[in-house]
Amino acid sequence: MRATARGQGPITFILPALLLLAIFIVYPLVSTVWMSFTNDSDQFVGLDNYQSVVEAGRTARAVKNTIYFVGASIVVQLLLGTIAGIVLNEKFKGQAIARSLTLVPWVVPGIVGAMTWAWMFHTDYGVINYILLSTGLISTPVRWLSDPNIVLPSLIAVNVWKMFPFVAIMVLAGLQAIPKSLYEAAQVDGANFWHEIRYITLPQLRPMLISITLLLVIAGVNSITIIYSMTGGGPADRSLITSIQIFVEAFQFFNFHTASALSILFFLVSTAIIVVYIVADNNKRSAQE
Amino acid sequence: MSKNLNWVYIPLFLIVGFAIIPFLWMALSSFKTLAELYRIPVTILPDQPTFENYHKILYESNVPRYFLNSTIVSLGSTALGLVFAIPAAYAFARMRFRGSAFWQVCVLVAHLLPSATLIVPLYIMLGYFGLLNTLLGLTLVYTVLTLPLSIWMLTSYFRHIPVELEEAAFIDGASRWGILFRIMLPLSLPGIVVIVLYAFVATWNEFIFALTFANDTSVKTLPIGLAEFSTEYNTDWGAIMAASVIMTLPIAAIFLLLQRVFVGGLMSGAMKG
Amino acid sequence: MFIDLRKITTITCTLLASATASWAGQINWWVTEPGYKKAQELVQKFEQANPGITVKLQSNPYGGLEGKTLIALKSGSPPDLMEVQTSWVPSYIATGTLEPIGDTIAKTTPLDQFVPAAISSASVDGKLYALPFQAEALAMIYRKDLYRAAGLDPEKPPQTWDEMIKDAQALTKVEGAKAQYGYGIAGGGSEGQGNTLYRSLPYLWMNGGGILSDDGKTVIVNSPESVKAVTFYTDMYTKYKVSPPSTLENGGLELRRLFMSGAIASYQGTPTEIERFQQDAPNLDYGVAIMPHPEGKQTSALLGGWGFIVPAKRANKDDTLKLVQFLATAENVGYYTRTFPAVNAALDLPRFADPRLNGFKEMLKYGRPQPAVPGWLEITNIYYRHIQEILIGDSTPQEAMDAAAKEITAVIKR
Repeated sequence: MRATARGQGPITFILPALLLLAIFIVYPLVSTVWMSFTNDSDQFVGLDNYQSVVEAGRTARAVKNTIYFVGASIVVQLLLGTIAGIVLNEKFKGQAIARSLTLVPWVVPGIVGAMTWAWMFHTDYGVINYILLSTGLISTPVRWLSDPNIVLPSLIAVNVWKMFPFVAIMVLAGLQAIPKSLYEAAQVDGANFWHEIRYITLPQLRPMLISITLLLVIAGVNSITIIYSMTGGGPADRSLITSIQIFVEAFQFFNFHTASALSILFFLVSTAIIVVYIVADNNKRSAQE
Repeated sequence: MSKNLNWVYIPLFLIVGFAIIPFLWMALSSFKTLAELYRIPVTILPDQPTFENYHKILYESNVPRYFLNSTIVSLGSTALGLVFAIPAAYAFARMRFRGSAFWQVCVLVAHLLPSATLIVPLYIMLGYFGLLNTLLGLTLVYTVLTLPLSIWMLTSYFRHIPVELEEAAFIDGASRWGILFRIMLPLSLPGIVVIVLYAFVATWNEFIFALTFANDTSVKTLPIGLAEFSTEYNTDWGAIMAASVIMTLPIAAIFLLLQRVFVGGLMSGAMKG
Repeated sequence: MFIDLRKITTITCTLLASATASWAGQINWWVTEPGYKKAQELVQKFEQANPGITVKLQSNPYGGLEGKTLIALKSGSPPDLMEVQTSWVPSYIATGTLEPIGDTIAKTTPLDQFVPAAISSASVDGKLYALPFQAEALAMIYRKDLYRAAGLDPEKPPQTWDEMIKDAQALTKVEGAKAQYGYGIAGGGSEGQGNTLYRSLPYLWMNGGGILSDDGKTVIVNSPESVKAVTFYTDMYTKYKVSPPSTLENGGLELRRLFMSGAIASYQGTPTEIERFQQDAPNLDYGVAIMPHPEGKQTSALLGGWGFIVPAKRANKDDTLKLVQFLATAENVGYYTRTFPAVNAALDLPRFADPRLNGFKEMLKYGRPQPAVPGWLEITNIYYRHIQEILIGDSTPQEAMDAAAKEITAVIKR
């Protein structure tokens, strides 16, 4: 479909958005690149900042934690979100209220949700340990946020709690787009509920789920609030992820130049992932058409 | 689809339970006195329920003002975002043009910049344009922050609409803009609702940029107002919990209302036609 | 075209001139939330005494204030007067955006009438860059009722490290879900590394160690004296188990909660605890004592506090200094401070007369400032993380402090 009339070309459609982004994003980006190659006296220092960032022990640990935190979060977010979306799609009584309630974690301000969970998780005055101890399920308090082996799983649980409603809503919207005729045809063939899920619902949702995964990856690697307010990346960096390392480098130590270098590295890696995704998606799309 | 819905209730109970437990804790806590909140072992139900936290929030604080500011900024940036995102998403979804993939990547990449690196340059820029401490300045920043994702999600929704509908309209002589407004938008309404919700919620809860760009009491937003109850020497948990309840209810209410848009019909209606 | 240009220039100049005119006579003053009401009172008095000058107050939440202040200073259009924690001042000085105000302050109150550590912590090369108004040191707060219940004399709190461990062990009883611990140390918490630093570094100082040497050039955090102190501190959790399981999640706020509910019998707290107790637990039976010290040595404390800084690039040059002079009186300093005044004479004011404050007043004498070295925040973060390595059981004190020394040395060398 070729547009020939004036004012109908692609430029008119995309220019306003691109202009806005150029002003408010390009300048900061350029500024960050500049800062990553200079020091506090505005002298050009080449790759010094990059070198000190790459060599720091914290950086490698933060990358490892980021991969674990984001990877595990996404798997559970997708699983729980998809199940929730499918369940909430059924027409039972109170469906509207159930959907609203499920959305609560997403809607609650990040900082408030995190503080509340931190309070509930507290080893000595948290309600979770209180219930577990008084029902005898455990005999000593569990250090949810200060045991090096338990801290990341606890944070992942909170991250899942925060984001699974988003997946559920997207799945819910996606489910609306599945033609009813497919289900009707399947029922004629004698399919039961599980067959429907496996052979119709999930395959139809696949493109949507792949898109959501990318969004979850971006949200995950950029997330700061939950971990920062619950553990600050501790204890002893056991829950430090790269985005927090950047934030701390910039706003706790005021090393804006190393923070910028780390930002750019982080930004480049994320961009690479996205480019691969878009190219693969576009190739698939043109192969289909 | 199977009509026996009893299987639904167990997973539903678990899912909804998981979702609302912290909020329940928040709500219960908002009715406790500070003394009770500090007690160990903790209490679950309030011993002597009190409204003092809500009273503090509604009558002795600036929270109502902050509520107004948050509403203006969130509604403004959401609406503005749609104005920019809808045409752009349509172009990416339907028009084939040189650089389409490149610009899409640029848009997504714009979403990736860590907030920590955007803050200082943006602060300087807003100062230069005289937009610091203004609702307009914050609205613009929020629009920019939510725009990339809105474009990306909307592009995806537009792509799912069958091309045949547009081709039919083209043959009938409709213009691009006409197609956009009369066919694409109505059919992607669930998608638009999702984007509106996403942008509204994201801006309603945003903390870091609001903290830095909106200093005066007249322009502060709710999350910053919440932070005021956490001073250097004490955290007024009761007040924070009450304020959180107040912050959460409007959005939950909005979603309850927008429910119906999701329910059935629109897509299948187009397919049958 | 030519005429248009001239018209535009004239209009622009008029606008700029009126913009500058509106600045003269107005002072932009940033204060923190808790100080807002008192600041309003002071502003009223100041404006009455100085007709023609108006003060515009802006109140900021405590959260994120350090970074927000830095951003404002670096932006080139900062406010005229800003309230900050004195420990942040050295890194602000390093940005080169602050104006020295020692001479201005001295016109009202000679500098030797201030708490010495408060002045030195905000000075570099003999120039003072902040007006300290608040100075405080932590002291040991303990539950007299729990002491009695354990058979200890509540009027004789421990004075030495050995006594402290003995008493804490007597006060620790764990029976199933109901547990009481003798002394809560800070190992984490929502407020970050500062809480742990304030509650552990003094022990290193008491024993003759520290993180950096006095000239800030050598790292001494792994010297035998320092390691002994670190061992003493962390042993309370790892070896003697007199500090509760939540230690790695506890900072000042969390410890206070545990103290008020009786889960810990003693801890190190700030003077504001008194205010909080009066509000949240008025019947609490507590006492305040000096921090226990090694046998034969003196106690020590990290001096904390707040002050006002004056950015060099501010809009209102002269009136701001008048406000600084107004605020530098013993009376106003004593009024505005939330804990103790940085001006010695103000300690005689009635609000500081409560006998329970004596423990804090005593500790104030032993207060030492934080070293004014750039990168101090990063250095203390390294120290903090390695303390946590000990507490989670992944390092011995010597190993952890050796590793910390290596990283800190790298930071100083920059």
